[in-house]
Amino acid sequence: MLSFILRRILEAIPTLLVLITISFFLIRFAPGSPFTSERKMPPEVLANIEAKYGFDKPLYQQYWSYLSGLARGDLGPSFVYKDYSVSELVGKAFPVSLKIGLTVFVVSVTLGILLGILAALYQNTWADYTIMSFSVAGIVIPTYVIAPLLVLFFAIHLKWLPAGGWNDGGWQYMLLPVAAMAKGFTGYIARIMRGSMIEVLNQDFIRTARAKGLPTRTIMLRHALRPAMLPLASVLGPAMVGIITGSVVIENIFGIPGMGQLFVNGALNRDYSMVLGLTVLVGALTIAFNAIVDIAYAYIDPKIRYS
Amino acid sequence: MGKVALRQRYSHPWLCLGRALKCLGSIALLLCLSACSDPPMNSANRPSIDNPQGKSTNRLLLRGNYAEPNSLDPAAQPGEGIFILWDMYEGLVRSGPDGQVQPGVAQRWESEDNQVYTFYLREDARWSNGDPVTAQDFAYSWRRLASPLSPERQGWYLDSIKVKNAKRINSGDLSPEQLGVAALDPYIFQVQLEQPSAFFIKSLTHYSLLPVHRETVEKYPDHWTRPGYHVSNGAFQLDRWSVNERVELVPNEYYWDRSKVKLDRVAFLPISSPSAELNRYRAGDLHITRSIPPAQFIQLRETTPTELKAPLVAATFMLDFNGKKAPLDNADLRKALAYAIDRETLAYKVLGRGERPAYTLTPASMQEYPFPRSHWSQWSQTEREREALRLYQRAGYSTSKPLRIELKYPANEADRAKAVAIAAMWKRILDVDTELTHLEDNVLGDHIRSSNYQIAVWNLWAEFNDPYSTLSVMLSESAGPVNGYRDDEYDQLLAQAMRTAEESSRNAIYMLAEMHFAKDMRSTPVYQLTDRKLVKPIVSGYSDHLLGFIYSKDLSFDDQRLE
Repeated sequence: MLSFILRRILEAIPTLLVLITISFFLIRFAPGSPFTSERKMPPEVLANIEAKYGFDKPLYQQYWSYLSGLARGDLGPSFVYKDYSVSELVGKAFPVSLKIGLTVFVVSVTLGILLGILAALYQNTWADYTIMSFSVAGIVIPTYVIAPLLVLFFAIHLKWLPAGGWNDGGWQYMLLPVAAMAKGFTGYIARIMRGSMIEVLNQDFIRTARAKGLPTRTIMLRHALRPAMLPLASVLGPAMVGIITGSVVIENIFGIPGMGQLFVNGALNRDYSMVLGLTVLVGALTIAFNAIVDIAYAYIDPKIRYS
Repeated sequence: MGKVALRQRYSHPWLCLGRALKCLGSIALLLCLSACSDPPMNSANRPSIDNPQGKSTNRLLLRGNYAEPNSLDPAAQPGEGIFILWDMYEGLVRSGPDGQVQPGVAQRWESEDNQVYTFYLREDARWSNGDPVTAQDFAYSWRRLASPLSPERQGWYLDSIKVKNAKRINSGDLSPEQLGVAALDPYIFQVQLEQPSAFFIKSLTHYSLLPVHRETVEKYPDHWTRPGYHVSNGAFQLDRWSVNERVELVPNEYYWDRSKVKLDRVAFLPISSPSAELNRYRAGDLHITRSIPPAQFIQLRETTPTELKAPLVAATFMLDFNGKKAPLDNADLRKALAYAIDRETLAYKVLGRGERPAYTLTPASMQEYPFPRSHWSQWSQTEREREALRLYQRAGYSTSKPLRIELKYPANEADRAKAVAIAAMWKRILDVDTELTHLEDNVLGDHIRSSNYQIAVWNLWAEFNDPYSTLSVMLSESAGPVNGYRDDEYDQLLAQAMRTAEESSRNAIYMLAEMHFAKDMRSTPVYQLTDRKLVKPIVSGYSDHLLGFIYSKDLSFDDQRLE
């Protein structure tokens, strides 16, 4: 197992390097620069600013100095939020996205698994149909439709909850964004869970367990749940990264100071170092979570061993 | 044996999961219960519209700010930080509600020749740490602004208002110490100009000229704009800055006019989506918005007419014709396209949010400026269209040989509607085939800069309340977005205007400059912009401003409505 983990870490380095290289050159070749929106700036001043950030040097030199900065843990200055460095900004925004993301993750995994099991147990009954209709609705209705509706109803009409803001993550401020984000993910998990559970419940070993006279609860928890979780595990890893690194739409609608906002503003304003810094972070997280999923597989599925 | 071991090893996590699920269930239940037992939102500690006093009689004003400030350094490009800067700092002068200049730190000023200005500063002005605001502070800040060593700086502004040596300092030929500013005495500040400027005082309302606290800037070069370090001399000082969430200001206790500051706290929320901002406003999270979703304007005007503000501002929506390249190097063709736009229909019917048709570079509502009647603005639209067709044909185009042209505009719904309307007018009157290309803002800026366009949309904003501010964008030496407009006669007219002290003769020269520019039609004005926002009735002291200034110092909560 240890050698497996080591190998994954070693494999991650070239993967990240490729990722950084591609992103570095992609964003540099995108038209516009971090300063072109400042329309009134005289060309010579623009040239001065570009020199200050080293944009006047050849691209390969800039690439090299970025890499050496990165190796020292320096993500560079932000060109959009000029009073901060990228590391500082990400350091502040990541905990916010993480808090929302983890809540969404826990809520939707819990709900999704429960609903999926229920739907599978009562397959083709009204309970199954209701759960699945809601799941599909949750998946297909886009967040940018449901989120303003939630705001309209709970914040403006009923005045129970704030329409946005963060306030250091007070629960009232988290409820609507979490609900809006979790609805699709819950539906997704419920559908996967239902499908795999139905498959598992038709297996011979479950029939044997039933024949032994085991109560349904024991059959589900002890025999059926683990194999039924397998397809879910491979989905959850990458999905987890997507959730904890912030949702652009949700953060914009609710005014949450998370990573999604940094990403959008960074990309739109050509904040090179910001976009690259976030790419590195998301890339590293994706690699890490995929490795965790692989390790988790070994525990869930006795057929898989990494030795 | 192996099987038993396996079961023990692998079944545990899942039994745990079962327990964990139960645990989570109870947590969820607890959360629900605590939610039910919590007091309802608006009576909670959170200050809100109905209760701006919140828990500790905090009069908290909540303002929408569209986007996160790029910087809180007046000498950097602050982006959307401008409103915050106006609250935190006080310059030599401030811009009153009617656009007129009012004394700021400078109590009075004098100049005999309009070339050397002497400012007498108030001796009770204080920084937020208690230090006196002196003439040295202004001299330091302006030199810092001019310095090319800090290239983020906006030294070009000092150059554009002709402060002595600013140009050569910016290009590195002189040291910042040689800027034409001097502290004659702690409270007497003197500015020398390259040439007499009649509107110099008006041009001092620009944010880049606000003073900074030397000691703090030099001691904490990377952190001085942060809460805890920041020192300012305006009505408010920085208290909290949470990026992408809010910037909060509290009153500067040392401010000379502290008794006029009625608010206990001002928060600026960067909400870039106008519909999200409207929701926050409706839910009671905002007192003043920064924008209004274009599609909701008419509905809001009917439902909340007193809260909706849409004053005309000193900014003009323009179309820029790239005269460097064929086919638009032909002035007849440029004029044909300019005349064929039915500005009244566009402003009143297509937009209909208070905009006004524009026939001049200078916004018609600019202070004390008679609307210059350029010849073509006095024609009826039918006459303009007839002339447009004549010029179009003279340029060699017709229905059988139509012009194909590309119009580039920023990628958003509002600009799309305008672009479509303009293209339709050109099609109807001249039979021009217009290809509409929408570009991300940044990319459009890049295309304009590199002259990679035929026709492009842009907004011309006045920096201060004098026609020179807009007209100077077309100067040969200007850094405006118009590529390559160079005209000696135009330059001379503006230089002459700058020297002309008497207002009406100066305006007459401006009109000549406008008409001269219209002969070439390298850029055409289309309509004057409005600054649309919502203001809660509980807020008193709000007034429309031509340059869009809103000082929180002027605002307070209407106590009767609070009761």
